[in-house]
Amino acid sequence: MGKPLKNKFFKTAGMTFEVRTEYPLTDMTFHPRLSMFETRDHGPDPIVIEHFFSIPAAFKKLEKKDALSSRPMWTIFKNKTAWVYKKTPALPVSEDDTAFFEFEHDFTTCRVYSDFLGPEDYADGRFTSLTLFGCDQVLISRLLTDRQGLVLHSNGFVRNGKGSLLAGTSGAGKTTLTQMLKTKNFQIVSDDRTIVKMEENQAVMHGSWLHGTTPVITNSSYPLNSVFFLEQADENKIIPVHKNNEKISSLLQAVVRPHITAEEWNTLLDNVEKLVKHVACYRLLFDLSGNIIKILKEIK
Amino acid sequence: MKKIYTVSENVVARKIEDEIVIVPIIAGIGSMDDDLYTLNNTGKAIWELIDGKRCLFDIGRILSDRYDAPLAQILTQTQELISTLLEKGILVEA
Repeated sequence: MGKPLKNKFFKTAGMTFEVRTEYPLTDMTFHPRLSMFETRDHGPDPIVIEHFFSIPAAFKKLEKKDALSSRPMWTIFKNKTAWVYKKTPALPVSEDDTAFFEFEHDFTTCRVYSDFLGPEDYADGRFTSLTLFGCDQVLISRLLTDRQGLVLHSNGFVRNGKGSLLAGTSGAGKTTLTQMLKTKNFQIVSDDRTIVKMEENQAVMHGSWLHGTTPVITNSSYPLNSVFFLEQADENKIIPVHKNNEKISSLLQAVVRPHITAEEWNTLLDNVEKLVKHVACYRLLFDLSGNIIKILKEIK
Repeated sequence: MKKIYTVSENVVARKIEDEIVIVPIIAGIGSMDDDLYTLNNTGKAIWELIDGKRCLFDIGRILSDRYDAPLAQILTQTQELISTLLEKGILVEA
């Protein structure tokens, strides 16, 4: 077990996340694959995530009828200063497995509350998420909305020195095509979740610790020049999408969107509209022969 | 025909080129199951007249004059679209 720490810093897409905790942090609190994102201190855009190991009495009294939204696993509340997300695992061993996430309205502070972890569980937790219980994509998506960015359900890879994305919902073929790319030595940047951000008038894709079922995690960033919307087919073909509304509709299908207010949605739509002006979009039809790779290489 | 409809607070609509893209504001976690809804041509023309003040008949009459089309036909199309949008929770009665 490593030396206990009070805090750790992680960086992605220009944001620095400081994790503060009541329990001692060790080198094994977070999964070793997150270590590539570790940094020594705050960057210019600090975000704070605090871990607490008891649940405030006020949260225990929250009732579903007062929720803004209720879905399997998640119930969302809003009070004067914060959003409160209650997460109950799909198959809870007991009600004690519930965790609460309290986000300040601008999402720059996130407090995580649970009461079922002891210091030893925490020290050797190997958590794959800075919020411990899988709320990082909500936090990052909502932070990015105010930073001209978004998270896309997509796999990022490098093509001719520039970033490209394979976008699509589950089952669209992202994993299959990514495997094909790997065998042809393409550099893979992200798995199932890619951060895309407008930076100095260009779109940039960033790897992060968010991932799907086949974790490919990198902290690489590349200027993004193309997005491919996948369709499994009996042929191999890449068709340019020229109309902005078609590009926007396709991108919106792939955006991770935990947004709650009309204002957030309008900002997200602004971000998507900006993005489509800077990236080429294509429909990519492919079969399992692998012949699509040759066509993909030829696209400028 | 005299009922008045307005856009629900639970959606955001955006005109993008020749279409109206409507997205549901449903609080969720990485939700991919919230359908987007797109309107073009006639649908877009009807949508742009739904302002929480005009009734279905007013909308029909304006479009009938604009496109020089039979009022009955326009009213049927308007009614069908409004029913769909009500069902999806995109419109509500004003």
